Amino acid sequence: MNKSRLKPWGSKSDPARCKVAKNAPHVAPCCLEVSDSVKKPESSLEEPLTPAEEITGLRRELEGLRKKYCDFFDLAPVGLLTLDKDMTILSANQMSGQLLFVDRTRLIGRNFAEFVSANDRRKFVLNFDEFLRTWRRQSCELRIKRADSADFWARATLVPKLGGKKAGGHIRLVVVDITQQRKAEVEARRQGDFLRTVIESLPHPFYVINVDDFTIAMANSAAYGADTLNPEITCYALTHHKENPCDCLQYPCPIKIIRETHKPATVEHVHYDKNGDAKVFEVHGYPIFDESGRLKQVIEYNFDITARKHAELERERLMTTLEAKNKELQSIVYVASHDLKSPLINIKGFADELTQHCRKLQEICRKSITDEVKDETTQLLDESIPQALEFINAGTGKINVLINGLLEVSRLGAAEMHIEHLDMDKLMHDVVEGLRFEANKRRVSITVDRLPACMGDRAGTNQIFTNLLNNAIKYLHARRKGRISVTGRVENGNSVYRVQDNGIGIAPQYCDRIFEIFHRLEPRNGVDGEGLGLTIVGRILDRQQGSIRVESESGKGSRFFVSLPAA
Amino acid sequence: MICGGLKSLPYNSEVRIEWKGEQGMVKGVTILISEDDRGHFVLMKHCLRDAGIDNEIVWLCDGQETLDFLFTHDGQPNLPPVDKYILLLDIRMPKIDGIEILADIKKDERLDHLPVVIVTSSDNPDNIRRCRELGCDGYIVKPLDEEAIAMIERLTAVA
Repeated sequence: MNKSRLKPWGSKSDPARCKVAKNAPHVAPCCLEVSDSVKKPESSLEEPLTPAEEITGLRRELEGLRKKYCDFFDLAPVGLLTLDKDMTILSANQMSGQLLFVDRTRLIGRNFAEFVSANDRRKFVLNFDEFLRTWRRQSCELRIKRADSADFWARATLVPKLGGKKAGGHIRLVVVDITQQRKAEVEARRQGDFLRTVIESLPHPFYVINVDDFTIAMANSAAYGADTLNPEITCYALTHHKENPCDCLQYPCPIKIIRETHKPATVEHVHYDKNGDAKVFEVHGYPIFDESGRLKQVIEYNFDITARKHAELERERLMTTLEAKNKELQSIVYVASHDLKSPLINIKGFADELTQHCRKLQEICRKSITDEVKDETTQLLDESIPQALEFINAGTGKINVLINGLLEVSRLGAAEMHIEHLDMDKLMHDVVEGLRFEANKRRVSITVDRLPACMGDRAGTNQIFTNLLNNAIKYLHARRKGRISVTGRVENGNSVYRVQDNGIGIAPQYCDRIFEIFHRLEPRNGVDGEGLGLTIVGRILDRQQGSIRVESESGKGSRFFVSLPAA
Repeated sequence: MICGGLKSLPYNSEVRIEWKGEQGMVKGVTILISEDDRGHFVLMKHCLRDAGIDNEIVWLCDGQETLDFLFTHDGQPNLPPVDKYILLLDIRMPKIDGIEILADIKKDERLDHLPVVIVTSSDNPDNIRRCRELGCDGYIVKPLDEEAIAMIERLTAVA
C-alpha cells in the first residue's frame, strides 16, 4: 500500500471535507483517506515508532478503512454490485439484495443478465460489451426482473472498479430503482401531450415565447401553418417577417408592456402569413413568472380580427356615406320644397286676384250688358270660373300642406336633441293643457295617472304626446263620449307610456302603415291634417332611442305604447 | 346720384322700376324689392298698393343686381342717406342669395342703418335665426298677410 496516499489530509483535519465525504453515497475509494479514524494520534508524531508498532498501527488503520468501506458499500441507497467480465456477480451490497429480492449472499456467483428482462437483455449486453471495449462508464435504463418475478425500471450504470482494467478487470454495476422517476416522467409526458393536444385544438395561433430572446418555446400549428417550427425562430420573425422585435407606436410589443406592468396585455397587430398576406390580429399576452418572480415566458394567443376590422371599416364608410346622403336628402327636400312653394305662391296669389277680377267683372256685366250676353257671362262668371278657381285653390292648398309637412320632417332629421331627465307628470300636464280647448270643444275626458320619469328631449317628447293625444281627440267615435287615458310604468329599464282611447280604432292590417309618411286612413272624413303626426312621432322616437307600438281594434279604440329610456 | 346708379344697371327686360323722375322729385321712402320671381314681385306690389302704400317701388331681379344697386363697382356705397329706402329681400335667388346680401349690408357701417325685411317662402328656423343674428329688421313668410303689410307700413313711415 502506498503510504503517501493514505496521509495527505491525515494530519490536517478538514471538517467540511470530512462531512462531504461521509454523506456522499457514491463515495469513491480514493476518498477514504478523509476518515477521522485514520488520523494518527498527535503523540505518535512526537516519538519515533518501532517497525512492529508501525505495522500494527497500519493494520489497525487498514481494518478501520475496510469497515468504513463495508459500511458505505452496504448502506448505500443504491444497488452496488461487482461483476466479472462474464457478468457474474462477485459482490453485492444490501440494497442490491433488496432490489433483486434475493438475499445478497445468494447473489454471489449468479449472472446479472438473469435479472434483466428478456426484452432489455440485448440492450444490456451491448452496453456491457461497449464498456469492456472502452472501459468507460456506460449507462442504460432497463426493466429488472426480480426473483419473485415482479419487475421494475432501473438505471444500470457500469463504472470501472478502482484501478480499472489493470486492477483485475472487475466491473462495478450501480443499479438505481427509477420506477417512481419513470412514473413521474410518464405522467409529465402525458400532461405535456394533453397540453399540446389542448393547444393544438385551438383554431387560433397560440405561442409560448421566451422573453429573453423572443424565441418560441411552444406553438400550435395554427401559429406556424403546415411547416415545421424552427426552434430558434423568434416571434417577430414568424409573425412580422422582421429582423428586430416590433416596437413602435402602431404595433406595440406586448412582451414589453407585460415586462413593464407584470400584467396581461392586449394589443392589435398586423401579422403576415407565409404568403405575405396581412391579417389583423388581436394579440393577448399573459405572463409566466419563475420562482423568483422574474418574467420568464409570455403566452400569446391571437385572434384573427381581419374580417371584423374590414366590417368596421366598411361600417364606418357606410355610415359616412349614409350621413352624407342624409344631408343631401335633407338639402334636396328643403330646396325642392322651397322651389315648389315659389310657383305655388304665384298660382295662389294670381288665383286670388282672378277671383277679385271676376267679382269686378260681374258687377260691370250686371250694370252694362244686354240680357242675352248677361245670361252667357253669368254662367261663366257665377259658376264656371269660380268653380275652376276653387279647384285651383284647393289644389294649391293641398300642395302647400304637403310641402310644409315635407319640410317639417326634413327638419326633424337635422334638429339637435338634448337628452335630459324629464318629469313626465309635469310634461304631460303641459301637453294636456295645450289641448284643453280642443278637448273641451269635443267633450273628451282626458285622465292622466302618475307617470314615471324618463330620459328624452323635452321639445321632442312634448311633440310625441301632443300628436298622440291630438290624434285621439281627432279620431273619436261618433256615437260615444270620448275617453282618453294616459298611464305609465317602468319595464326592463324603459319607461313605457300608454295612451289609450275609445275612438274609431285602426284595422289590424293598417297598424304598421300608420307610421308611414303622408299615410292617412280616412282621406275624406273631414279631419284636418297632413298625415304626418305619427311619422313625426316615430322619427322623434328613433332619434332618442325610443320606440312605439300600437294595439288597436277597429271601432273600439287604440292603445299606443311609447317607450323611452327610464330616468 | 340715384339716377346715375340706376342707369348703370344692365336692364335687359321690361321696366322694373317705377320711377317718377329725377332725384329732386322723389317723395317719401323708396321700397326696394329684391326678388327673382316676377310673379312674386307683382303680387307683392299689388298687395302694397291694395294696402294703400303708394311709395316708389324698385324691383331688383337678383342678388347681383341688388348688390350693384347698393354698392358701386369700386366698393363704395352708391346710396343717398339710407333713410330714403327700405329693402324687401328674398333669400333664395340666383347668383347671390339674400343672406349674403344682408350680411354685406349689415357689416358696412355706411349701410347698416338701411331697414332690411326678409320676404321669403321659407320658414326654416335656421334661416330665421341666421337673419336675426345678422340684424334684419323683419322676417316675412310669403305670401304677404296683414301683419306683414303692417310691418312694411311701419318701416316706410319711420324710415
